[in-house]
Amino acid sequence: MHRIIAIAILVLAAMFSSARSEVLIGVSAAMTGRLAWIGEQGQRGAEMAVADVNAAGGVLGQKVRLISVDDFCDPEQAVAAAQKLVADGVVLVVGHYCSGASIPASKVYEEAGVVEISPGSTNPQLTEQGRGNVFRTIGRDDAQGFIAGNYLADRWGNKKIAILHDNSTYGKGLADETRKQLNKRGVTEAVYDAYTPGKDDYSAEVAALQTAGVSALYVGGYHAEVALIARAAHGRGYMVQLISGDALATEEFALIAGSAAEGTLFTFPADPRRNAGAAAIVEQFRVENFEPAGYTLLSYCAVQVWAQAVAKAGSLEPKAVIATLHEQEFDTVIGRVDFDDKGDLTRQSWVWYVWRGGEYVPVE
Amino acid sequence: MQTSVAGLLRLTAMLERLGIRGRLLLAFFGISALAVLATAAALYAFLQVGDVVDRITTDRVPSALASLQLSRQAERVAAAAPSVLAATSRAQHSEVSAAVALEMSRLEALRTDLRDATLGTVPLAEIEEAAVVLRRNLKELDSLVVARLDVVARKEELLNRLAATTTGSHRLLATGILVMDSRLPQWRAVAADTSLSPDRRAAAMADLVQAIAAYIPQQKALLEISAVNDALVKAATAPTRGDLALILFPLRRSLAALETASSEIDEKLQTRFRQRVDEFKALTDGENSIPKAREEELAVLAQGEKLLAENNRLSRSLTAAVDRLVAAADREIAASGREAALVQRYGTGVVLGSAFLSLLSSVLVVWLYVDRSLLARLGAVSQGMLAIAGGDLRAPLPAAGSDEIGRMAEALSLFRDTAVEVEEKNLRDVAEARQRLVDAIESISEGFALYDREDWLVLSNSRYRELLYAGLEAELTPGTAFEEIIRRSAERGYIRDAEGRVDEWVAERLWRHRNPGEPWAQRRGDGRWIMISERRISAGGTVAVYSDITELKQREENLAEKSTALEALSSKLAKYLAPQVYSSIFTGRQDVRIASQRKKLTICFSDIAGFTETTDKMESEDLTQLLNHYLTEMSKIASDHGATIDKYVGDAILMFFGDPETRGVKEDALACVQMALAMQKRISELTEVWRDMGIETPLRCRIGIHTDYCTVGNFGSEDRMDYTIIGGAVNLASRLEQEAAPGAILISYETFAQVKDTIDCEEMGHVQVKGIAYPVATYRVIDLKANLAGASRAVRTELPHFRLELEPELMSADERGGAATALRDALDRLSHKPGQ
Repeated sequence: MHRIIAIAILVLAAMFSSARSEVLIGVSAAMTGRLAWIGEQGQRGAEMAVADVNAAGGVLGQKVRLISVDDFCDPEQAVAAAQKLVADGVVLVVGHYCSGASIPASKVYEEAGVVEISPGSTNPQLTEQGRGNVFRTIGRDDAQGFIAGNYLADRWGNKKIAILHDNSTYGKGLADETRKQLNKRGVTEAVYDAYTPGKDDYSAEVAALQTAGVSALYVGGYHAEVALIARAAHGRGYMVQLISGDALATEEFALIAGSAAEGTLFTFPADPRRNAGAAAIVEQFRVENFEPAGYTLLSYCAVQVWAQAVAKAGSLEPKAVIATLHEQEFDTVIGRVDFDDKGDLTRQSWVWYVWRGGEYVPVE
Repeated sequence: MQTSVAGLLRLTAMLERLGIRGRLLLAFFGISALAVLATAAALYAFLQVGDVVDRITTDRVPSALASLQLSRQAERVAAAAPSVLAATSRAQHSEVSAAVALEMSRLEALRTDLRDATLGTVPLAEIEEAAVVLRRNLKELDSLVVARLDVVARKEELLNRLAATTTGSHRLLATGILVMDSRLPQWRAVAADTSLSPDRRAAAMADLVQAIAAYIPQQKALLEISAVNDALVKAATAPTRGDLALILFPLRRSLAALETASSEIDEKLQTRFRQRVDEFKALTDGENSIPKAREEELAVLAQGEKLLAENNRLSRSLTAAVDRLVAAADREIAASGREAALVQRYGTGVVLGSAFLSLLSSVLVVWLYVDRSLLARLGAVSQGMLAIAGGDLRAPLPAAGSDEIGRMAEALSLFRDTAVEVEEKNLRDVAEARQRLVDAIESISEGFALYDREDWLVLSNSRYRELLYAGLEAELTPGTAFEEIIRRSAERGYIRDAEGRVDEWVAERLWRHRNPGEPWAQRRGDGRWIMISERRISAGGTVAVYSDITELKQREENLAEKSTALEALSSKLAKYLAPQVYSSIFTGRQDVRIASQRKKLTICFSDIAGFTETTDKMESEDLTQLLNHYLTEMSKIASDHGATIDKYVGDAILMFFGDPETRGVKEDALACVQMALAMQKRISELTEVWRDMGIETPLRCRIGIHTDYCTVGNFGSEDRMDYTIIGGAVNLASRLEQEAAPGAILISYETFAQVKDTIDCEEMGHVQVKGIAYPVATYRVIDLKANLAGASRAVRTELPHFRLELEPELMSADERGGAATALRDALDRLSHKPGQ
């Protein structure tokens, strides 16, 4: 009798361990709405990375399964999404992409002991909060704004400059960093203002800038609104130089702006598609009819870094993984990566891109 | 018959040989054997009951319990099985499945137990078969659930893909919508702006038409995507295969429409859009489509339902079989119970019967054997013993025998013989001792009698008889009462005291006899004196010893006669001595020898003034009578006041106080003065008497008193001594007496000092005494102060050239006036100094 019970318990244990032989990770991004294209980049990048990790035998011999949630780039929804992922038992979250979503969600992950690696949130505050579990595979807006500010001062210092932002954590943060640097350089913007995101038409705002005689417009905001502003300017025949940040690195910008996209400048980390090490992966995406632009490879990198850290730590324990992430260097699709104590990349490279013929290319 | 009688005799003889111990043991063994027999019977009965109960508890009950458990277990398995099918995740399934497996394995174990416990009389085969099939079914069910879970997982995956594809398609089309939205305000502005040229407005309109035309296919595509998505989601949960077939038709039509629309989408997005459409197609048809996955799931579910139904049926049949098993076990338990009750009843009967028999046999053994043959004889022996102990040595004793009681009787008779012998010897010893006592009593010179507690004569010697009752020989036998003896002797006049008062005397004598004290003397009728000494003895009774003391008594009487003569002589002698001197000499307080001592005494001297002149003319007889009368009266007063009369010198008396007895100097002096006053008073009273006798001149007495140290004692020769006082004080007292006026008392200052508080005195001036260097202050005694209280007082003064005697209370008014004039005249004369 006792022998039978013992056997039953053994069978039960074996079943449980087989049920646990799967590691869950999550990707949280805006899968629908105006930022859906960025979300798609994140998901495709993470999916490909998971497929590659599993093809190579998984982590510590366990398969990795990816689940994705839609945070709508909204702070409240981001917290709900984070709680769902934590409840599902993920050990890593790739995301979030909007800084306004990442920052509140990071608290949930810290409390649950979940590693968060954001491939898209650039607001410095994310890693300045002192949460040990947060990392990012993209640079910070203080660096991005520094470049933008310098450029504006150098190239447009003697003209009227306008700085607009959408009041989001990301948009206002980036606009302020840029303005700070610009002012530091002794140049004062002619206009500093906010616009309401989510509108279909920004003609009124553009008309005001035109009236003010603004020659260069720096926008801190997401690509759809920037594209609509570009369209509005173009429609009025107002030849203003449009300059923006990393959010413009999606082909949808050109699809919305149409011919108005031509010549729009923006900053983005050095394009990983050009890395030799990434070639095979880029090719794989293209075979699947997907251009791994923007955050795709940064997301791929996030999964890659984590998988390597788990392997190096030899454990899925969050503490061990986090410690390894802080201490070790990782070879990834975006090159060699290592993190400082805050979880930021030790090497950032912001590069100027310009939209030409429906795609963005580095400024020569 | 003869042999049986012989055998009985032999048996009796054998029992005789065994003795009491053996026979008692035999009796006890007999009783014990019967008790053991009863116990054994009871034990056997209980063992039988125990066997039956054991059979029930070890065979029937466990098998019944096991059956019940098996039945319950089967029900639990049947109840748990559906939950396996309801599992929605692998983890849940494995958990539930393990639980069911556990229940099943318990069922198996119970079945095995039951097979071992039951003896094949119940439908075990049926249970076995049902359990085996149940087990197989459960296994199948389990694998079925695994298959179902796989299908469900696949379906889930497909639905995720569907969602991703739908989202992706929407994403592609959303851009166009956004652009369209952003252009609408421009068109509205153009349409509203009437200031624009018609060409520009026409161009704007054309642009609008073109844009709308390009937009419509996107819109249619959006609708179809929604339709496809809805249909596929519905297919995923279609309840039957028929429903699935119904859904597939519109789905395929929507896909065809979508394909048509894709060619009209923006070229930049077309490739991607077509990709999405292909994905939709794959989800609808083909190996890995949603409808196919649902179809498989439905098949699995149907199979599961079938298996569950089968399970329920099996479980029911299993339960039914087990129920029959339990019923059988119940019946067996009931049967066993009845059997046990039967055995118990028999057992109880046997126990009660053997207990009764054992009791009966014990009673018989005790009554017939122990009581009759042992206790009766023991009783006889004990009665014999009690009789001997009570002193009856002639009581009948049981016959001796060969057993313990017989030997006891023999020993008892031996003991009695010895006791008889000892008793006789004791009687002899007592008689001898008594004779010795009689001899001893007989040999003493005093009479001896012993009376017992009731005052009966016990013993007396011949001396007693001859001393007290000579001639009464025959009546003084032992046993005669004391009262009778004394009464007889009183009546015969043997007792002097009893003459004429026999009864009274007898009572006195009896009281004395019963409360003996000091020895006493009894005067006998013949004049002899008998000393009787009686004493109570410790054992009660009285011993009396009688001695003849006649001679002693006679000597004593002679002595008494002489003593009386001497007393008469001494009383005559006493008249020549002061009473104090006499008594102190006769009581032996003071020796009659020459000795003296110095003491402070108060000395009194009295004398009749002019006695010689008064008595010269008298005849000698008259003088003697007068003087003796006077002296007797005075001496009486002196004796009454405690004075020691030293001597009479003619009519003078010398007395002193303070020896041989003294009350203290002050008291002595006071007593002396009081005595003197008494004497003067008595003389004034006697004056009347004497006048009657023919003495014309009244006798007046002078008294002098002095207190001082004197030598007092016996003075004289060895042949004749005088008790007297010597010293200057005597002379002073005599001198004071001579100085005193007739009828007055003169005292010295020393005496005055002692009595002045009580006695009223009058200072009389100083006198010169021969032999004393200084003049002595003298005082005349007036009276006791007490007598004078309130009485008249005379004023008396006497100086060499002045003399005053005044008694104002006795004077009349005229006399008082005259006296006052004389005194004033005298005062005037005294106030004028001489020569002036």
